[in-house]
Amino acid sequence: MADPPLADSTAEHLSALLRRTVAEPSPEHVREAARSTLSWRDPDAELATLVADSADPDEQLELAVRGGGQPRLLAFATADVSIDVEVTDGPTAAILVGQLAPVGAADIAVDHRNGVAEATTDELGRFRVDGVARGPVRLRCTLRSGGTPVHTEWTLL
Amino acid sequence: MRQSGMGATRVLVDAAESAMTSLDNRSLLAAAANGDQRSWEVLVDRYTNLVWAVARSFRLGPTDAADVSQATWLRLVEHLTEIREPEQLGSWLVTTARREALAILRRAARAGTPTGEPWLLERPDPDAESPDDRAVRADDAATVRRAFLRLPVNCQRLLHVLLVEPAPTYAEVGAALGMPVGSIGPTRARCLSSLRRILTAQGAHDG
Repeated sequence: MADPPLADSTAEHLSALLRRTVAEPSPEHVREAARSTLSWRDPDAELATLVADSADPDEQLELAVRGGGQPRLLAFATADVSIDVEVTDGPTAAILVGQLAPVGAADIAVDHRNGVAEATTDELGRFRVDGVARGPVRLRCTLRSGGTPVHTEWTLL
Repeated sequence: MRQSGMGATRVLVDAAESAMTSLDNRSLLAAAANGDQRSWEVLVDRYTNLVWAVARSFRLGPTDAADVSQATWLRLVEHLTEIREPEQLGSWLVTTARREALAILRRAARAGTPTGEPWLLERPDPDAESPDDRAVRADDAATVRRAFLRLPVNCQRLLHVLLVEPAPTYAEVGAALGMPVGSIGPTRARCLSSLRRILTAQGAHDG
């Protein structure tokens, strides 16, 4: 038996005990990954915000109608550009099928946990990117006609 | 860890380091927005444990919690120059982390995939971590852990976040848990009372 019994501990002592036994600092690899995120900053790009997500609670009604097991649909937009993306499961990673509007030839790069996956749009602004690791993901779109590159918000797949 | 002879150097290094780590969020955010990696690291070090604890308090496994943490920091990188109240950065971060964690839980629930990984990771013997701290004996540690896991989930979450070092403000805790700041103190007291009751009951059974 403990002496004095743990049950008689003060709040401070209990807190100290919990801190030593239950509290969990962020793992070193998580801290290191967080420290490295600043290198992803690109103030010159225009940020396309997530304006619709089929996994978002506001979209529940639509989802209920469509039923479960559907691909996740994401829509990103700036004032001038919209990027719609459908996320499906590939053999080892996710597949993104998307459409850029207004239509134009563009290079698409998808940053993900394991690197960068790239594609180019077809004449209708459509693109398909394979091998996107699940986790934080963002798309970078560079129009061949020039102009500011558009980056989507980082989104968790 | 105190080694004589290295004291003078240590003092200088510590002084430079503490000058940096005592900078306020506003200065650090501004420097980071100009690409200063060291300032960014000070910010990360200031809040990484809190962001992690918020993710874990939703009982996310280590992989999902790591994703939430990374997504939270990437979100801040995107909005470095738009944080209106730098002194509230901690609340901004935990709100972001909480939103990402809840989104993961929703998606998992919809897909029918369980996220239930062990809530508390295995920990090494606390005595081995800190030779100076003789306060926690191994058997006490196990007893406290067991009692903690019998607490109501809300208590586990609150205590888990309150245990973070450096200690979060009540505003940050409130943002992390979605609870009014005024109820944190009383709830904490109630949760610790429950813990004491559980310890008493355990003592009666185990004794």
